[in-house]
Amino acid sequence: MARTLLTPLLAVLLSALSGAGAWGDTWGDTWGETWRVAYSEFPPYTFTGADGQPAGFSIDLLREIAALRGVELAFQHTPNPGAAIALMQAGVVDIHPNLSRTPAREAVLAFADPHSEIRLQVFARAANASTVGRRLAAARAGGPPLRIAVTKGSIANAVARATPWLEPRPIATTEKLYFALAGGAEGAALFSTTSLKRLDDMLAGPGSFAPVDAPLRRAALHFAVAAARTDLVAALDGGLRDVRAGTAMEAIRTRWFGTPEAGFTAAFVMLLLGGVVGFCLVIVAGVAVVVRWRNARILAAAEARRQVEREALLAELERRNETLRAKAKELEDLLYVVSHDLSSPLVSISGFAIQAQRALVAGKGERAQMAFGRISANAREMANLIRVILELGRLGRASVEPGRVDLAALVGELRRLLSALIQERRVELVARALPVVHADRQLLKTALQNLIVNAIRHGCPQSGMRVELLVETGDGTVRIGVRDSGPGIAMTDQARLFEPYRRLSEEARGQGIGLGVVSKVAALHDGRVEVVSVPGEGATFWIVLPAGAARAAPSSLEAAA
Amino acid sequence: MKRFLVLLVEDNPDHAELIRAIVESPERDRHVTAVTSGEAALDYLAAAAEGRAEQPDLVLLDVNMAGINGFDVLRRAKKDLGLLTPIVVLSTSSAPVDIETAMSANANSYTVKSSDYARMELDLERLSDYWAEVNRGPVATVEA
Repeated sequence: MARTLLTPLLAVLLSALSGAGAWGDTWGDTWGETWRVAYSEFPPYTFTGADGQPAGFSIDLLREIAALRGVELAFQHTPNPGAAIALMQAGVVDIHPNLSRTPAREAVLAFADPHSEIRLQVFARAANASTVGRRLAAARAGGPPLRIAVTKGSIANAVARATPWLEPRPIATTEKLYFALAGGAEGAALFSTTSLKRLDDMLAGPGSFAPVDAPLRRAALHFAVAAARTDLVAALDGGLRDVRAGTAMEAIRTRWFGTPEAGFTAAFVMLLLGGVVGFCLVIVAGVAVVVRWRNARILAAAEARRQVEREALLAELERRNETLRAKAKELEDLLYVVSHDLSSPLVSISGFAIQAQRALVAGKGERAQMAFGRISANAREMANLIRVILELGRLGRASVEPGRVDLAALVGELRRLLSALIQERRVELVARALPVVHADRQLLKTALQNLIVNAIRHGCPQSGMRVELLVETGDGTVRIGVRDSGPGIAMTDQARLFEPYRRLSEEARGQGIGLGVVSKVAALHDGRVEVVSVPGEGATFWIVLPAGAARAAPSSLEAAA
Repeated sequence: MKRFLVLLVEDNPDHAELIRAIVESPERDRHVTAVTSGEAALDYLAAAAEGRAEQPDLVLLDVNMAGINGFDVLRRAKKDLGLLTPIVVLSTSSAPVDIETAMSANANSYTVKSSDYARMELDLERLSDYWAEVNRGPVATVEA
């Protein structure tokens, strides 16, 4: 680093010049003189040190030169370079060391020209640097001038004046010059090494361009001297050459920029670059890992969500399948019941129809009448069954149409409807003090019919037994009961009694559809069905309706059948 | 012609009457004794086994009965009592599950009551003919 800073510094060091052959003669005349130096704050080149004395790289150089020449230095601090120039023009100071590229320095440059030279180098692209070098040598030896690009302005003019073996081709901007060189439009360019470093950085990196020659050894300006002091210019120029040739320069450089470490630049840069690149790689890798981890987490979360959704869907599907299976089972049971219960009266109807026919043919009118009676009864039973089956299917969505229902009249109807069964089983149907209730007449009739038929068929194994109808009110309910004194129902069967179309243990088969209807009828009235039974002591089935739906009212008395 | 006694177990009086009308044939010495429940059927069979009632040559058994149903009568008669009397199931159901249940309870035959009476007549007549005249039952029968 120090080296790259120093090189342009050297390159722009000024030595005074006043005409090509006007110097050198005054050598030796400087002993005992005092050079008056104006300086301003521009560390590290010129500044006021801790001891109050001027210090800095340029100051040290001046002191070295002064020591070589045996002159004294008288320093004068100025607030800025402009003030220093004004002092020089007024003849108050002889020298102003100025190394910065600022507008003020431009002013110094203008002031110093034509007393200054610029230390610049010719650079060519590394690939053709040797070719350029050969052509440069040929040009010096009297061959055709080498076309060389410089930026427009005073430097180009100075180059043109100072280097007749070159053909300076001014180009408007530094950037254009860079690209002309890089693109091969120009064989070489003339740069300070600082500019060259910028060129390298800007184009392909350090080392793209190789130095070919140092055409101008004398730097422009920067130790400004009054035009009037040609002796001083010559002294500075000679002194500078001696400083450059000697070891003093190294000492100064070391003082200000430290001892360069061997291989420091490249190795350190490489190391630093490597470190930076490695660090970046680690960061990038870390970011990548974090991103992947986050992505993985997001994916896992999404997957988990999908899994939950899948499971919910599967559960829903399973639930629906279960519903469908239940429906299918219900349908299957309905078909079973239909095949059983519906074909039974059909068998009778079919049989008695033929018997009636034959009786009529044989002229047995009484016999035919009896058969027709049985046909009618079975047809009614069948119609009833069909109605019940359809009702069962509809019950789920049926609307209840409640009204006044005279239970006594209803039971009378049922007694007539079931007369054949009652007579056949020789059963006593007992009903007392039946009230008027508030319910759907048709539904209630269906329910009671089922209960009575079941009581006769299952609760009256022997003839002469009784089936009793009971009504109880209270607790906001009306309870309509059908009691038998038969074998009763096992506890294990009681809970399953009311499933529609169920297949109970075979003992209870035949009750299913009826009790299912009873249960649904009760549910449609917001009521329920209860069974009270002790095996061996009969059973009582209760239709329990809320009093709102079934308000009991006094009615006619119905005597025992 | 041999006397042929059928024990009809049927809780539906209409069916009982219709079946009797087909199967019973005094001129061919075919007779029907009807009971209306499974309990009554078992009582009769037990009594017959003890000689207190006439031994039937065939039992025509309805399935769908209150109380002890046909399947139970089958099981008790065949397995518990070890009766050899042929038992033919008469049912309105043609459901395979019912047929299987009956056969696995050692029913000798399973028939479906047809809702076409003419068909039922034909079926029951052939059935009666077979069991009365073709089949050789285990029960010693008396020549009429």
